[in-house]
Amino acid sequence: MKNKTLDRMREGERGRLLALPLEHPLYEQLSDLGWRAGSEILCVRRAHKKGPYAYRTAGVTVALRMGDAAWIGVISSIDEEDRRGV
Amino acid sequence: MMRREREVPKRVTVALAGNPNVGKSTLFNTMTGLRRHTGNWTGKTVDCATGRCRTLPALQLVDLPGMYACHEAGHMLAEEAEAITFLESGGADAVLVICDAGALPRNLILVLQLMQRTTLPMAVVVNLSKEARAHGTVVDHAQLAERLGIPVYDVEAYDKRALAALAETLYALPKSRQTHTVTREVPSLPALAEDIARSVTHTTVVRRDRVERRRDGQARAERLTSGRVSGYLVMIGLLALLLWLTMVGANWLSDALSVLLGWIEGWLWRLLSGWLPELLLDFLLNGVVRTVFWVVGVMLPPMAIFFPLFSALEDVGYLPRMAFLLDRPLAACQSCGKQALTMCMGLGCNSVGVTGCRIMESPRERKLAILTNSLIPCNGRLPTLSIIVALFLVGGAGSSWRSALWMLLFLGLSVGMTLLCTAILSRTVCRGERSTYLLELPPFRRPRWGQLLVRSVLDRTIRILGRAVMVSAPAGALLWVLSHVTIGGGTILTHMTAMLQYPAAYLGMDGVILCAFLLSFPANELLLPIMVMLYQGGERMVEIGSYEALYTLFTRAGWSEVTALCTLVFVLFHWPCATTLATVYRESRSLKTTALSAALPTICGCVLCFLIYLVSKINL
Repeated sequence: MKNKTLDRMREGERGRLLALPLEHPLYEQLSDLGWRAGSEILCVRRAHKKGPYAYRTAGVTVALRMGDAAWIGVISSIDEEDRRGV
Repeated sequence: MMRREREVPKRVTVALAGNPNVGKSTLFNTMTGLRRHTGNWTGKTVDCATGRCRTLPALQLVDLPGMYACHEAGHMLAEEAEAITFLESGGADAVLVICDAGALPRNLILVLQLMQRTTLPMAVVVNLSKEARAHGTVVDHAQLAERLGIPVYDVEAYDKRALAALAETLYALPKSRQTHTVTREVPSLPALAEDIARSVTHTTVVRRDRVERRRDGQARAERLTSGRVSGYLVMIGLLALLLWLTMVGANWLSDALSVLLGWIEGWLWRLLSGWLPELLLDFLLNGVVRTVFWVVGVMLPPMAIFFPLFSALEDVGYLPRMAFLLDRPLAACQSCGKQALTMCMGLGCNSVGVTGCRIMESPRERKLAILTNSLIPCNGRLPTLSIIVALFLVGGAGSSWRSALWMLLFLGLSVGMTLLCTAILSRTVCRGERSTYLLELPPFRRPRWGQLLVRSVLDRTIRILGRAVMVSAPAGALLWVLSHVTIGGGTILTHMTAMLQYPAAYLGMDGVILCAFLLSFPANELLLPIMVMLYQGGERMVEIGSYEALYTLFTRAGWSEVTALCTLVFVLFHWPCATTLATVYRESRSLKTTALSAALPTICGCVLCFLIYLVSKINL
């Protein structure tokens, strides 16, 4: 299964958030919004390749930009899982 | 298991807590009859408000700012800290947590955290159940109450009858004995919240095609309003439409109001002529009443049209999409998209916009937003802009679409200048790292037109107009005195305008215009009436709201297109009003920041006006 960072998701692509570093500035805010390891997410829009991006998870759509933080979470692509029959 | 027992005081105070944008302020407004700002986006409520219940005056309600979770001190936003401080200071006898039925898992995290953190009796209101049901989700309230160990009510936040019944229950809440299973030893509250939410929500039997149609509609609207190209086109189109409707409506309303106020003024002259000495009559009617009527005549028409339309955009949920689009240019200036929300608030009132900067997490970006908020024209400046645009740039009040385009251009100039100043400040006095950006994008909702009209007309228009009238009455009296007291062969006003003539000439204006800007420091709404009064040398002001009379007056005073353009630019960019400056000081607690917030737009205005003056001289 091919993993990638959240900002690499294409519009309309579904994924599963596998990991999010505790020290990430968005960790607390994302947790408050219902994001957890393994949560399903959908990339709704990409305003620009550097962000912001709009994601939908746990029934909530959020606009995100990771700022100067190096990376944000690793996701596995559900679409790819579907293709491989996982 | 925990047991809670409290004595019921005579007056019971219940705090309304909950996630942002779940309907706390709507419920507060319905129960108290007050008019807190509501809208379909997160971060509107940034301070606490208290009100007594209409149906049960012994019940006092406190509307707290929205919070996603109870974090430890130092990790909270300013408004979250305010909410937690209030709950922990003992100001409330009970807490009512309002939850969104459509997003129960994350709403329950806060409920559980509050259960852990406070010893106050609690209850939960599940709001927006109808919307959730329309999407196929039903909440089992009895089961939720059982799982949480506290009362749970299914009430829509605008349902007056249901809330009247709820008031009785809330009054008795402090004496209720509550048992719940949440202790500090629970390993993961989010997991527990998700488990509870899963066990109490069921999928209802709704027509699949109807749900899918709704989802498709939401997705289409999302694509259109946040697309890379379509998003900007929609934003510009919507603003142009809003301004065009404002211009068309304001012209019509202005004519009607001009007749009405003229009639009232004539009636007052006839009524008081025989009763009062001529000097006092002149002071009252030409000084106070004329200025007040002018402020009403000038301000009311654009505000009465603009605010309901802008509130509709708020209720639909468009503003966060605008913030999403503007995050990219703002991030390039080392700020974030939330600043766009504070700019939208500033369009109503800069003072509110400055207070709204509390929604920004980073202190550096909050300071940037506070410093640049006055670069966005507030409701006090928009009517002046629209009148001068109509008089000098489109040649009369009839060309509404051209007026709207000019207004859009000036609004674009304001946004451009805000971006430029943000970029300069973030590289000089507000250096630092760009923060992350996270903003909830609420679902699109149909506006409730009745409530929207009441809210925007009664709350915004009348309140702001009332404030303007309160300021304009004494200001009118002062102006009358200044224009009648003579020193050394001229009135005080004549001396003031003569002194300002020299610097004003280099800004493409004249001494009267600059003097009017200085005298309208208490409220921007006063600018045009003061200008008119000064040009008439303390004589009776021209007919209220008459465009032709105004045009003749200004052209006789030597106005050209360059004068109008410089005045328009200076209307956009000059020192903020007294209320806004006081708010900047209250929010920043820094005289330096307050001074900078006044200097920044003034410098921008002076530089631009001087450039226009230079270009006009070269062309000549």
